[in-house]
Amino acid sequence: MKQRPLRWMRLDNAAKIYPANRRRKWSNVFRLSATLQEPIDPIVLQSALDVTIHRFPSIAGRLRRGMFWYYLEEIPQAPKVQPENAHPLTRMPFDDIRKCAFRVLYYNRRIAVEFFHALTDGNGGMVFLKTLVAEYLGQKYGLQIPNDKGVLDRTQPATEAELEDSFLKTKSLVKASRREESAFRLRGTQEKDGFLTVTTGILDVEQVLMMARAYGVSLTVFMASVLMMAILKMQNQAVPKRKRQKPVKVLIPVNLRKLFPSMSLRNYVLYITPGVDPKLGEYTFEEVLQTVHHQMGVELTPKKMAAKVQTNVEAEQLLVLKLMPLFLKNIAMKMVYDAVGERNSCLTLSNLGAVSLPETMKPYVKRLDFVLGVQATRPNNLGMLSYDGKLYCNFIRNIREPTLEREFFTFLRKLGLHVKVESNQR
Amino acid sequence: MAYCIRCGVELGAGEEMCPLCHTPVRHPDVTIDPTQKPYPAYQKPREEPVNHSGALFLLTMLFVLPLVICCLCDLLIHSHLTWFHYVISSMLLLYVVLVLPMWFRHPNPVVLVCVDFIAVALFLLYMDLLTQGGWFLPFALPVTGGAMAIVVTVVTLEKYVHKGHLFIFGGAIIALGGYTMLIEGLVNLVFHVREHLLWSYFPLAACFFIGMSLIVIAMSPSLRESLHKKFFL
Repeated sequence: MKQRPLRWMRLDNAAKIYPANRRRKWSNVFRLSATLQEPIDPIVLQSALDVTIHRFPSIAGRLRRGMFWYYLEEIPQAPKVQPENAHPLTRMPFDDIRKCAFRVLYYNRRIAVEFFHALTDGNGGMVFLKTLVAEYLGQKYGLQIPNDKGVLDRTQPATEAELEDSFLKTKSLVKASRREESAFRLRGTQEKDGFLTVTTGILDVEQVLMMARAYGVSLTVFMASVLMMAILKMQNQAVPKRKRQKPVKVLIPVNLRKLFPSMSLRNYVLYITPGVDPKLGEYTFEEVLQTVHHQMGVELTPKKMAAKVQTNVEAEQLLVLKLMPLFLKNIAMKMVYDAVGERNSCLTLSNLGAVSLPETMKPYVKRLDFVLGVQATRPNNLGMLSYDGKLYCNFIRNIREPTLEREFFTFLRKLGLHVKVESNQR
Repeated sequence: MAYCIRCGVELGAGEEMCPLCHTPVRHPDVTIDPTQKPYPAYQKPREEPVNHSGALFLLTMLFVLPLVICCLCDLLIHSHLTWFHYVISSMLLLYVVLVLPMWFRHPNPVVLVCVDFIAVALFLLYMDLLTQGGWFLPFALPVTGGAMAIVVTVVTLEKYVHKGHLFIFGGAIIALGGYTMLIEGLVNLVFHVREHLLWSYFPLAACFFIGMSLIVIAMSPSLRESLHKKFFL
């Protein structure tokens, strides 16, 4: 029987930077996991994965090299599910990404999927995880899970809307400037073997929401402000002279699907970098909250976001850049990323928001987690989501000192919030 | 459930110490359950070999490209190869010295140094043949051979004898003084400059003084200690 040709697609606008910017010891990956009530059966998980990948040709893909651009190619068969390592998000070598740009791991009762960021963003990844877990539960327990709340029908092929690059449909007449002041850089003693420490703080989402509402802000603004207070304290200790201090800014990815109509399962996020400048004086928590709240109010509008997208899309469509051979393009993109990419923020706080599952699935899924990989030159990152009344804050770091995590969680404790902490510390 | 007595946070069931401040868990009623750890036990990851082939290919192309351009220019201007011989021999020498070591994962420095000196000798021989100078055998070969003997001895001793660095370098510096005498002697003999040795006594004396100083320092632990005390960084 003649095999059908494998589907291939161009990388979306946001994804183009990731393969160019990979390094020997770093690649841009993130992880989503679901903890079930019973230990995972790897054979059933493999079977569920075999079925699930056919619905996701853009996520179940591998990265290949063209003459001028990288491109995504559908994988002919699912990768083997693997037992987990001592730390999540172990480096994904480029040879692996060329074969399959994601991996499915299991440990005890947990199923985890680690994605190379060029495939999809957190929201697309969550749809993949939900659908995989739904298929697993269906095969293991014979559940009939409706195709709802992000669970897709595995018997149907992917729609064109799911595969589109929505950035190209986001139009604006003007371009937004990318110029920003560089932010304070967190530092620490690098783990020599590349070990990544994940520290998870578990909070009651209702408690946090009540407190955020009492201050008149959203949960993301509240958590970003707590993070900034922690970094402000760290900077005060590291750089006592206020005149020498740098702005404390947090990069917050924005799900553009909430601003523009899109069904895409590929990358469709942009970011904003709210922050405070300690040179202006001492900030109280309330002042930080108000500053972040208003900055996000101004920046987070469809018009502003469309202008930012336009800047990136126009850059990609420059003829000079298009005609540049890939190896030169990689060098150029890496240089630009090194010069400006991570300097504008201290770290990333990515909040996937409240994740819901179909009612039939809920009793079987105890917990969900979102872990963001560290950046190339910044040691910390924070991924958050809430599920079933709990807020899971996953800090990751490639340095030894847990200073940021300590300052963050003890600040929450001082506000009167109950925090449960667990980690993979050695 | 256990709480950290310093941070006030509740700790996961598998935590032996607080992940935030590393304070050990102290609770009379709580036993740590290692099966509750959120991740598998740590195992040292396998070291992945680094693949430099892409960078090496690029570097090689950087050498090949000017060669092709020079070859074409020489052919177009003179209809046959003239000065291109100098370019190709120099580039080959540079490639052997700079790029060749990168082709090997764990190159042996003794072999590399030998290869470098042989490449230098071949380069000089080629120059001699091109210019019909006749100076290779009486002058360039012994000078290159002398330098090779000193450098290879130092590198071999440093690689295989992991102590006595001061003795090795002291001896090498004295040998360097002797080597300057060899150079002057050969210059006088081959190019008929002078009947006797003149300037090489000065570097010989300086090298002898420095080399012997290093050997004396190597022989006297108390002197080493006092020098270390004076000059530590």
